[in-house]
Amino acid sequence: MLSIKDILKKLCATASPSGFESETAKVIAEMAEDAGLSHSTDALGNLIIHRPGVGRRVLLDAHMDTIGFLATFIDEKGFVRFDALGGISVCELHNIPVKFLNGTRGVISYEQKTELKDRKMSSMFIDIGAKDEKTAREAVLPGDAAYFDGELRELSGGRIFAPYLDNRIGCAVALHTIMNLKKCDYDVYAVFSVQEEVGCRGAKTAAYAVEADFSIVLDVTDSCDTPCFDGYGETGMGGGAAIKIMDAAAIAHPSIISALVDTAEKNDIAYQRDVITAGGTDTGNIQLSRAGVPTGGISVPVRYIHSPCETADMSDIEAAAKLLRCALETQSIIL
Amino acid sequence: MIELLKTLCLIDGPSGCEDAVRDFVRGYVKEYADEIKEDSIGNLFVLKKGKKRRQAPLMVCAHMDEVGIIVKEITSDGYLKFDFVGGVDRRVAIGKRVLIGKKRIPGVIGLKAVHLTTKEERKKAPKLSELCIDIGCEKKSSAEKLVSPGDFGVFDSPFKALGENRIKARAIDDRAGCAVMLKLIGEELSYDTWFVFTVQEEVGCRGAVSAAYTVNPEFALVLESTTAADIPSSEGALRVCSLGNGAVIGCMDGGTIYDKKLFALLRKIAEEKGMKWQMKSRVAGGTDAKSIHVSRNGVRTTSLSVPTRYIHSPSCVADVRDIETVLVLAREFINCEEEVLNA
Repeated sequence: MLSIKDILKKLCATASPSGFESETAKVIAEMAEDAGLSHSTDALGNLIIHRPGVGRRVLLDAHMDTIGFLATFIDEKGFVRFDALGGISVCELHNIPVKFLNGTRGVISYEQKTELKDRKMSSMFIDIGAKDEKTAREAVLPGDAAYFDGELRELSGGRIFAPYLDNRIGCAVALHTIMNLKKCDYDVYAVFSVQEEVGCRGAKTAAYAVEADFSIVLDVTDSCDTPCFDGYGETGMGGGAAIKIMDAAAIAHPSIISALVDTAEKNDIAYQRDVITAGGTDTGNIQLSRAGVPTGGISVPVRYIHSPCETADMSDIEAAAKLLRCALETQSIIL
Repeated sequence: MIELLKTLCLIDGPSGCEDAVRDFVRGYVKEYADEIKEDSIGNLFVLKKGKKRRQAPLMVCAHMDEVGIIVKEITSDGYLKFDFVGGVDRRVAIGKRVLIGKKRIPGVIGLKAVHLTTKEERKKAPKLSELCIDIGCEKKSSAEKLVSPGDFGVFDSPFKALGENRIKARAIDDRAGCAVMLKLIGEELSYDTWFVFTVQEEVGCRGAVSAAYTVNPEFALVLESTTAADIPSSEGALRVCSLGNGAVIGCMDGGTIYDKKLFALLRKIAEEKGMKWQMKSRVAGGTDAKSIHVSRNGVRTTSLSVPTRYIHSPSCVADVRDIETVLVLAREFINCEEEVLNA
């Protein structure tokens, strides 16, 4: 049986920049098939896995896309100009390795004459090692997508880092849970959604299709425990599963918050209350689908989100998965 | 095509006040359409029957509205304070003529004479609060007889042919798309197709939300005008797209990542037909696709755009050959066999 860490490693070895999620979708679908679960894909590319039940319909959502880069122009010297897929700060992009979906590797660098504070995406370029435009075009064309080139690595104390823990973690939690659910009457749909990083677009259509009675979103949240952290927040590494109270796009449904808190306390699962005021999640679009869907979330604190070195604590990931599994198996969410 | 463009570009249709454009379209399509309907927000739906009916319906759309102004306040000395409807760079509005309301009251967006400005003032664009529209009235009471707060206006700008192949007009965005749709509605089609003339694109792709919900298509083609920056002060990627280089096929913009298989299909059609195509070299702007592709359980959406310089200004410039190319590619696309679209 795959552990949650096994799943996480498998997902971290795939690529899925926003709009180009098919590789990750395929790997998730294969694992679901091995567990005997059926799945479908919608017009936007959302992967929807179904575990039938006679009870209320639950939508578990984890976005499978990641931030990345889209080639927009090849110049006469063979440098690739690009734009961001999702929210990326230029300061993360100085001499950083990237890889295109077709395997071409490159390094993101910057126009040296432009001062640091004035650098924008348009001052940056990807050097793919081509000697001129013609050779560059043999490797990369405008419209091709790239991503941070890195793998999952271990730190001491059960911590890990990788480029895309946002949101391989949520996917691993959702997938591990739906594959290993024992007794559960809920009719469970796990949506691995597309295009969250560019505006939570996939969740919108998936929520419409599933038409759930309630929903739980699995994602990452800010870990507010680094030196001189800019802002306020109590979520931190090792503090357990982060139960969503609010993010910039949604206020979690009170009944779901209290059910998750009760479940954590009854089952002795470490948890923390998650309030973030910057950054939204799929929660925002799901709760507004059709006539409204009560929605909550379980997140995992991650440091350095949207950088090539997103860092998390395995114990928080385990806690999030245990909390989700217990909530579903004890059917503690009653609306 | 030029005559149709000229007619369309000279009709007033700021966002929310698309009535005159809609009336023209309704009159034009009457003899070709199999069904015409309008929804509560003002979108006009035109069904053109073809030889066959698609299992997976296709919707084509273009927006009728254009950027403009809205009167906010009449000052005691008869000037109009205003705001823009849709995205307008106030630097291009200064010194321009406008037409306000149904009565088309003429006015100018004035600014004090250069003689009276300081060096500092000339270095930056004036704030919107420093601008006003002069309609020639001496006092508030006389201005009130002509206009009211809440009246919409458009730029007053003639349609001109420029050079051999180019046109200059306001509202090419998106009367070019409307013109292409009108041409297609007049043709024999292979399949039943819904053409939707949408409202309020310039203020956030609002009409397209209800349009896509109503039609409930599986596929959508958005016909648009897009930002060409092929001017001497831009180089390389910053030129975005260029006049005369053909139709822009949608890949990604600020609102949408377009369906990749449909992108490849349009590219293939263009190459087989020997038509020029391009993609934008910057991710910017947005189209009705933003609302359409996330409608209901998702719509596979693509776009064809006309590269347009000085877009959202009183004087947009486009190349008629590009518009013809968009027409050819749109025609091929909407007549595609069912299995080709589904592939």
